[in-house]
Amino acid sequence: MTNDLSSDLLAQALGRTMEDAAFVFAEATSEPPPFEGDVIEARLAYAGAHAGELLLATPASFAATLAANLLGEEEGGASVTGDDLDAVGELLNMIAGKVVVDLFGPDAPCKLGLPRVQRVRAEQHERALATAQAATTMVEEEGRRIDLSASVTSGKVPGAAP
Amino acid sequence: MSYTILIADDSAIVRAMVKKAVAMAGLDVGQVHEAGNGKEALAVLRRIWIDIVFADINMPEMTGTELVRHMKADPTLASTPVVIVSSEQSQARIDELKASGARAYLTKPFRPEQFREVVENLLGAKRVKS
Repeated sequence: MTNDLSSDLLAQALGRTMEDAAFVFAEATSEPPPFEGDVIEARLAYAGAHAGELLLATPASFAATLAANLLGEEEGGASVTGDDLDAVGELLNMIAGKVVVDLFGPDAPCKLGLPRVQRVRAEQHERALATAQAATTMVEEEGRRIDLSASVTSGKVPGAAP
Repeated sequence: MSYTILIADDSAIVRAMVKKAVAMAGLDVGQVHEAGNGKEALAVLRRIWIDIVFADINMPEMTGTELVRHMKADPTLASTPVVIVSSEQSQARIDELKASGARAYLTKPFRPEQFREVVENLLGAKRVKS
């Protein structure tokens, strides 16, 4: 079964993965708080019968928490140090696996690429978010913002007008 | 005798996650070796006896699929089980990987008990800690 590319579909994949993998409980919001400080942006391309890109963004200050949660460790633990960017990339990898199947069906003819992660300024991220075909913004329990956006660059965009 | 395992993934955090999951699964694990891609994994496999390999698909230099293909072509490594640990959920991709020789497939995010189940299935339950 395929689904339309929508903010709801992205919110479901983001919320579920954050809960299952990183023990972060977040809700979609239509009034996102501004990012304070730099943003960690992870991008992952998928290719095959359909191609496109997904983008996950979190405040830089939240990335260490995500790394610690993925490993089930206290924040600042020795094995977590330096894994912050890696954690955001890996979360996007997990989200992408779910989004691709949700969009294109259980036999989705696409392969996932490697996540590319970088630290950007908040304004730079907001500009990237504005060009996405679909996006969702969620806020976790402590008010920290998480964005997920998607673009389909070739093949049919699920849900788009013919 | 405990298991010697190899974890191949380009992400250090995923290698740490797999290591932790294997430990939490109650498996009797001895040495844990790590590799950042298929090429490095192959080098470890040619040097050290490994009971089971947990490998990602998408890795630079040599993918998990290529690693399985190289292992199948090498008589000394052909019988070492490879478990793919990946985010890809497409059934077509999973079938393709199993057809190429991967013995099992775990989807991320994973739980420790999934590792126990896979290891018990592939290597037998006798070495699992009670």
